[in-house]
Amino acid sequence: MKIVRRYLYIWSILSKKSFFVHLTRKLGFFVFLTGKILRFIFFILFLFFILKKTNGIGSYSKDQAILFFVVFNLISSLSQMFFRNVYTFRQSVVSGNFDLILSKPISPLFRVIFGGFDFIDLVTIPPLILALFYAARPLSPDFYQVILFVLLLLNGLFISFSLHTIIVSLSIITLEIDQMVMIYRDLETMARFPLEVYGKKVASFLTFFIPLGIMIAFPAKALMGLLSPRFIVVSVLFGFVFFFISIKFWNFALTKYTSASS
Amino acid sequence: MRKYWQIFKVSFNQEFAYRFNFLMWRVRNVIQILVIFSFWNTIFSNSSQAFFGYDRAKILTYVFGILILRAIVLSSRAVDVAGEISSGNLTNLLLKPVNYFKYWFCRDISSKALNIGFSAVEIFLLYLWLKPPLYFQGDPLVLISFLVSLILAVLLFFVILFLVNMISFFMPENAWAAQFLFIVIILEFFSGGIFPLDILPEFLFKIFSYLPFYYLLFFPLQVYLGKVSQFLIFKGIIIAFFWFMVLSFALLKVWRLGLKAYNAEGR
Repeated sequence: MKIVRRYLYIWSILSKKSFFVHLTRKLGFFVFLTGKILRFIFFILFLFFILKKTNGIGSYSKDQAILFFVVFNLISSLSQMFFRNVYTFRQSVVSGNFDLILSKPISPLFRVIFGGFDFIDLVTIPPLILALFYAARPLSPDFYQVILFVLLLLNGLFISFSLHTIIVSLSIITLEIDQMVMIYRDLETMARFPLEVYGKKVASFLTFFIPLGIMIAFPAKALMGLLSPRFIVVSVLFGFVFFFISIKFWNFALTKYTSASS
Repeated sequence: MRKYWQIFKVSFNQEFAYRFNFLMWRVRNVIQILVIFSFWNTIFSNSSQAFFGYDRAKILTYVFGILILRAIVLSSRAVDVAGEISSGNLTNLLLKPVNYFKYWFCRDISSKALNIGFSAVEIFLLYLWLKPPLYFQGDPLVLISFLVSLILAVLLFFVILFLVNMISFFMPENAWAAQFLFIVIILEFFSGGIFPLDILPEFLFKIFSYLPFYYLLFFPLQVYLGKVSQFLIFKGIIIAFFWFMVLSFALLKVWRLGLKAYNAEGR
């Protein structure tokens, strides 16, 4: 418990620092926020225009397709909000500044992943929760479905943490790649629509290999009452196994760090 | 001319210095196209259906066309100009006997050459995998019009990107934010990179057709698909040229103002 309190304290200090950085770039803050809001509006308008004609995507109805989209945005924004520091990590490795993190008496993984809370994404969360409320209302989820949704959403964030851990590990091993996190983002956008859109093979790949299905589609399906209890147990177990693998991979990656340029 | 040819060659070779990184960039493009392709493929799963004037063959040609046009029009090195200004590295180039705009245009062309080569391979592989029904244009007049609209699109994108980068002279810390808003969000949507613009309501589509972004991807592709009459092709080329002239003029003005404000910070 003492360790948790200590890390929460460190996280609050890091987040405060991040907030002050935002304060020095107020205009940039608003421009980025405008961009994110515009992207959401453009996509939702696009979906509305399409769904007005087609009444659904694949086997999913109009309301269900919109719910998938809103859940995707919520989980993606939450991940970016907590794990933003990952996007700048490669530079620390290339410059050798990662030494400074390694030499501190805290978990380097914690510092690398949670070191830059994104307040721009924080601003987008309340409207997204409101959008989720409106998108879910026509589907009338019961209390049990809402609880399952929250549970699987947390599990989704847990998986997202593991995925980000793998990304930073890869950044240490393969110095050349600065597109890795963006590839993850591109793959993540595939969950903007129901994964069945991509065919059975790709959907399975995106569910169990890069577990975007478990991370994003499963919470949405739970809210719609389309997820069987078997899959709920599997997804939570998968979350823990994936976490374990990512930590092992991170420890392996650390042994490959050469402290170049420092 | 020789020095610009050398810039082209050096820039081309530089891309190979980070081969894996470049490969990953191409992987990203393929993923983006796969997302759009799969989405439309599902929407048009019943091949007899047609929405917004598109049937399955036309929409899938649109998606593949976007992949090619993105490689030609949107691939660019000039995206680094903002960083060069804010880091003070611009000074190095100002002291050299090269025209700054021509220097970056050469680098852009080298990037486009490489991206076109790779996208040709990707298109071939995706074609074998997805076997989409594609539409091939055979009318020479339309093909010439397409080529003209494409050249204008390349020039227009260069000017727009440069203009956005100029923000770095006045607000160096916000250059990336400006690129995100104008190039990543607005340009992607307004150019037809995500979806065909003519699925929008007519009044919105009309507004879009007078904006410069419309002439980057959507217009050249519509010309290729034969969806635009000769009169509208002519009108479109005139509007695109008008935007190119206006934005080029604005760019030169902002460039001169920017040089006055430039302090070579970081040097």
